[in-house]
Amino acid sequence: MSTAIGHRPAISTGKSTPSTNILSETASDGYSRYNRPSSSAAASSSSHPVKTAMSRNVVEQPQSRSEKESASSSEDHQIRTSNSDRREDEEMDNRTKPKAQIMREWRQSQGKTPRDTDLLLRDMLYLLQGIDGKYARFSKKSRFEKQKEVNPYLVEKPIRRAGARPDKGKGKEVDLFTDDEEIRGIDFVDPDGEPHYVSPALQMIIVQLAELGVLYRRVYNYIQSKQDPSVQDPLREASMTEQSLCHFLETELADYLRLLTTLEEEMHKDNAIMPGDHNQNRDEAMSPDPSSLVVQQVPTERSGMTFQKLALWAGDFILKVRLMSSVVAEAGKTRGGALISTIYVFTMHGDPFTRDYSNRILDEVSKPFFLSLQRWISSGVLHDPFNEFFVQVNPETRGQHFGRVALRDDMGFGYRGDVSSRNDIAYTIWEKRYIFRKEMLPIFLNEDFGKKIFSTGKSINFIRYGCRDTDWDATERQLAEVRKDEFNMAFPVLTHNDIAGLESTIDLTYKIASKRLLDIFFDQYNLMDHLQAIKRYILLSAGDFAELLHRNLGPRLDRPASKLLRHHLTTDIETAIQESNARFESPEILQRLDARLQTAKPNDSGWDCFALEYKVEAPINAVLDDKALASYDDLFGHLWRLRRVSTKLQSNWLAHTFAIRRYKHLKEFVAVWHQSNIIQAQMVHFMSELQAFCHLEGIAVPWSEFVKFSEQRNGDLDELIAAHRSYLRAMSSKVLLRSKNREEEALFDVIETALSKIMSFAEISNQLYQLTVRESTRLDNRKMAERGIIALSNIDNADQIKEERQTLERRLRRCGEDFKSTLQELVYGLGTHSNSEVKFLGLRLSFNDIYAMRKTKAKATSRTEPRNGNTKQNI
Amino acid sequence: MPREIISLQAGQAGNQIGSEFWKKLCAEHGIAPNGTLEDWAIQGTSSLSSQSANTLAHMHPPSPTNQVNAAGGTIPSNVGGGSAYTHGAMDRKDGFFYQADDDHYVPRAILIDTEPRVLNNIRTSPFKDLFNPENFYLSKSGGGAGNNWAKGHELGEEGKEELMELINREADGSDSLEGFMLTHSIAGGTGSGLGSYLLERLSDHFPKKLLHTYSVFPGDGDVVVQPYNNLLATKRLVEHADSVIMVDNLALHKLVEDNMELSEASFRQTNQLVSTVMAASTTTLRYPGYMNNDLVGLVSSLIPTPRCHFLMTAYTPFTGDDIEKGKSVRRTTVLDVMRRLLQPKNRLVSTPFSQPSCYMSILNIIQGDVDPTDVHKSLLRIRERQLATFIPWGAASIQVALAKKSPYVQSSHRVSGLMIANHTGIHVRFSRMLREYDQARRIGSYLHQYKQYPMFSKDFSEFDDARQVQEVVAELVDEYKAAEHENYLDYGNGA
Repeated sequence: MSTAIGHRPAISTGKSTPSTNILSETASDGYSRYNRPSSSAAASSSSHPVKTAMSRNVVEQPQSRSEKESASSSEDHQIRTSNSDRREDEEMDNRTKPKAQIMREWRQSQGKTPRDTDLLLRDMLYLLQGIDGKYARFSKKSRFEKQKEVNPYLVEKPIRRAGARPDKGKGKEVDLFTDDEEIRGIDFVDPDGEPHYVSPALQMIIVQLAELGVLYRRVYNYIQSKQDPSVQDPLREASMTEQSLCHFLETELADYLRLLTTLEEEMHKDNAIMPGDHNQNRDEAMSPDPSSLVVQQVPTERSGMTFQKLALWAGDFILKVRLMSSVVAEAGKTRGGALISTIYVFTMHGDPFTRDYSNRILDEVSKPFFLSLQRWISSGVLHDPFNEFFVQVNPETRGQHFGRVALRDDMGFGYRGDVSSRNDIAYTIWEKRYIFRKEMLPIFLNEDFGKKIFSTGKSINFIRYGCRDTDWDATERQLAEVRKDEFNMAFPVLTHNDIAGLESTIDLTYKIASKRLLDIFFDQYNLMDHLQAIKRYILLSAGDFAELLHRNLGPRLDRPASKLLRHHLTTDIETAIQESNARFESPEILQRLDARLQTAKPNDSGWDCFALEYKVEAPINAVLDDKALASYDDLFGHLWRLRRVSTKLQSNWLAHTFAIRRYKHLKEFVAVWHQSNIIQAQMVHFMSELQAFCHLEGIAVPWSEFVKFSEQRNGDLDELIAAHRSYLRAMSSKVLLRSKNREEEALFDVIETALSKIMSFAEISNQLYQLTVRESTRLDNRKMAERGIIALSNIDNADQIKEERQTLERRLRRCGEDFKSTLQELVYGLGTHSNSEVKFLGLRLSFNDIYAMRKTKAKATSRTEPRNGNTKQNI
Repeated sequence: MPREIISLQAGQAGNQIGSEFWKKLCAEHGIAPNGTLEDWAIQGTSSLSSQSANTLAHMHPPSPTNQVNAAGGTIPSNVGGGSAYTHGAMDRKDGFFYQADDDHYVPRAILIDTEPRVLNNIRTSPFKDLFNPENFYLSKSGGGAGNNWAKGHELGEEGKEELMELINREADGSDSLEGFMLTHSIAGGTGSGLGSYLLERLSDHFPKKLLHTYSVFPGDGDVVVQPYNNLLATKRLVEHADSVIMVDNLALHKLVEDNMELSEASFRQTNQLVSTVMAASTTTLRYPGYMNNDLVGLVSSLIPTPRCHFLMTAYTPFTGDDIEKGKSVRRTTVLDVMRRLLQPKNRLVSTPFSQPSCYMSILNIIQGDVDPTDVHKSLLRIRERQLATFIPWGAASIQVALAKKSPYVQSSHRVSGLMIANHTGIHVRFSRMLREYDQARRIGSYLHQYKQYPMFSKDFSEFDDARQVQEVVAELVDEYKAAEHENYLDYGNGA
């Protein structure tokens, strides 16, 4: 019975004793004789599953077993010989035999010998390890057969599996059915050619018990695949979670194997007390006829081992192994946090045994997760060599170097350049460095909570790497202190069983970390000061600064863009700072204000490409990232333009409104100037309302909301960034009329049109003034000529002046009408605007209903009915 | 380089109001009566030396050698001081003050009178060291103008050299002079006559500068010849001043009596009231915000056409903070304040506003700790309720300028407001002036007093010439009336 012998050494340590050597020889004999390839390698395979498990867990076992083996192998001979003896005595004992014996004998005579239960029991032990026995084997459906089912025309070819383990020179693996193979049941075979009979009841028991073996093998295969040192691919390497799962499974399997060993021992228990048999057996082994040699290591009948007993013993494991196998099946598909989630599902099982057992698995498996978690929330370090945590390094930024960014004392040199070169680092650290992977979050943590953990670690990480050393030291101290107070230990042990405790720990850490980070931003890096400064100088809230800047820069910017020199601009900014209240601002802030020249198109004037910018560096730029600065840029562009137009208009007002009082005698100019004044008044009104709207509703209101946030300091850096973004959005939506609606955005162009109308009005008005002066001079000259003081000039250009005046009058009128219709369009557009705050600009512009908010046919032509009639005046 | 404003105060009323105004400014900027900064106001000063110290601080750490001005050291050297964020004292003093060599703040003020009494009062007051002693101008005779416009004008002519020298010196001392601010009364002799003379000279000399006046219009019969004085001065206001904030004595007294627990208001109290208004109207110039930081910005939106530049004011609340013996405070919200500003009883001009009259423009200067959303809501509410009527021929609205409250002045109310408005109903005031003049002229009373002065020596052409006084004021009335109607756009064609 070479197969059986062949398997033996597999269980034992192999060549440790001389007796096993003999056995190996017999095994090779058996191989050639019975031509059973499946058993061939087992003899010397050092990587045999059971052996691996055994040698690791039960060190002394193999030794004792191999001794036992040598004993039992000789017993086998004895048994065989006793069988043949029995036949001779058959007749004699017939009467005294029980009915079952008679039945069996009858069957034997019919050529159907019942398979000896003891043999089957021995086979069963193999089956329980997922190894084919001699008489009972797993009936497999190979990969090919499966394919054949799908496509019956397939022809079998030796296919080498892609993922097959490399051959290590020890021949094909024995019995290690892979996942490709499907176990259909148990085949009972007769290797010796004699038909044997196995009762259906027994078959059933064997099949049922064999499940354990299949499952065992599946689990075992999984462990093997994970621990194969030849796998170099880091992605396929066993991750931390898998490793701990394997560890757990191995321990469990060792238990299982220990059970099998015990069972085996049970089977052979009484052999030793039959010395006679032993000798006999040895004689048979020396028998010259090899064909009659039936070497069997079967449990003695007296051992008391039965299938029923076996089932009873193994019953306990069947649930465990089933569970393990399902876990393993899941583990093949998922990893890390997701695997923990899957296992967690089992802990919800109704069966208390399954539940407890799953909990044990989970305990073990979630260890690395909680280790990562702990390091993440306590020190902001992502300890996750296998990418299985739900926080992961963003692959996009993996390559970037995140050094600690510290403000360098640069002695006044190179500071600015330095700032811009690493402009986006803090923002990247915060926003991009880590990503949250929902699928890796164990399901016993809900997503919000996961986000919280994510943010906590991120905050700490940011403090650590984005801010200064001292910040981190202080934070660490604070965290440690609070932990001490709260938990009275360095760090609470985190487990999945204590979700409440976990939550409280994380809540606390989150609170400290995010508060700390916000504090660092607000107190140490004076975020509000910077934002305030941006509001003042970039958004021109500091009117005195804006005015001076405008006055200083104005003449320069009137020239073509190509003539602009940056150092002139910076000088002008410096002057504006020195002369306005900005000089009381700290140098820390002022040195960040700088001029920027955008690339100019050929015909641009200086106005088109000048921009004032505010430089920020890490870690403030986590909030003031490039996108935010770009928004500020846009806002500045518009507000700067508004200031330019309104200054132009004001100087026009100052220059002409009262100056014309001295030309009152020029009667024909009175009307046109009156008209000009009226148009001017409309424009002045428009400008002041528009500017007031931009600054009050557009900037001051969102600002006060943002200040509220900064005072409360709730939430984490993300919320701070979000608050700042919504502050920016609110400003853009009102100042720049940014909107999702294209039509509404088009209103901004209408404003632009109105602004350009004002500029052209100022031009006309200026020409008109010059013409008035010319006319006045002409009249004076004529008067003087009449008196003979000066000679009358040859050309009295009265007609020409008249013509010019009329032209200007026409242009003026058209300009006024255009402006009016532009405003009407604007107000109408604003009247139907979806944003009620933007709508208010319409109300401001048409406070006395001079422009219709809604298009009505009657309104467009006449506004002759003032509200005086129907309203009682309170005045 | 702020936009400087030179303040001229002429006559008894002008000087009294003016000195109250400067007291108020000193209090608001933390300047002691002798011109030095109070200790508590030392942070964020705008002294020239601190300026230079600050410039240096850009390159070097603040040097301890700079001991002249403590301000240099008090500027927060790092942003973390927290002060930069609140900026309580971000004021701009140099529009109204300049700094002497010893860093004392000196008002850009010229005090002009024809009799020594009021000026001597100021010279002996605690504020005696505040003003530049050279800036006191007293006519040689020192006998006053005797409530005679002609005499006042004549005295101006006499002192022309010296006066213009004073003004030119002051103007040269400023980098970018924005304009002049004249405080005077139009009823008497000096403020009216000499004030008129100043207006003529200034508009001639400084055609590009704003001429802004605070003109006190008299109540009933304070002076016998006031109908003449009024009209003569008003003519100059129409033709030479660029914006006139009218203060009506009648309304002033009524206002003070309404608001105080007194049966009769003293001039001291009315002067305090006027100075409060003056101070309030300049807050946006002294505490720069995003808009209206200069006088042009302030008045350009108020005055659409050159002739209609007579502005009316209203102020609320008048409390003991501003005026002695004021009543206790009421609740002040932005809406309350803006609503009250539109009520006639808070106006500083007493004219019955008839039906078609309307606002050409309104500017509300709201001072105090104001939530911007409140302004927004108040404007909506006022529009809904149609509390104000506006011109039918163009866009007009209530503009709101938010101004800081001085951090140095404790006030019991949260918000205070000043309304400056251009209202067409103001023509009623001028119509009355014309009526009074007509009556007086018909009788021809006291005209002889004017005859002794060159302007009237030959005849009364100054009065009678078609293009003269009456006509000018009548035109003003006419234009204001025209502005109430929609066809105002074509007003120029008809005239």
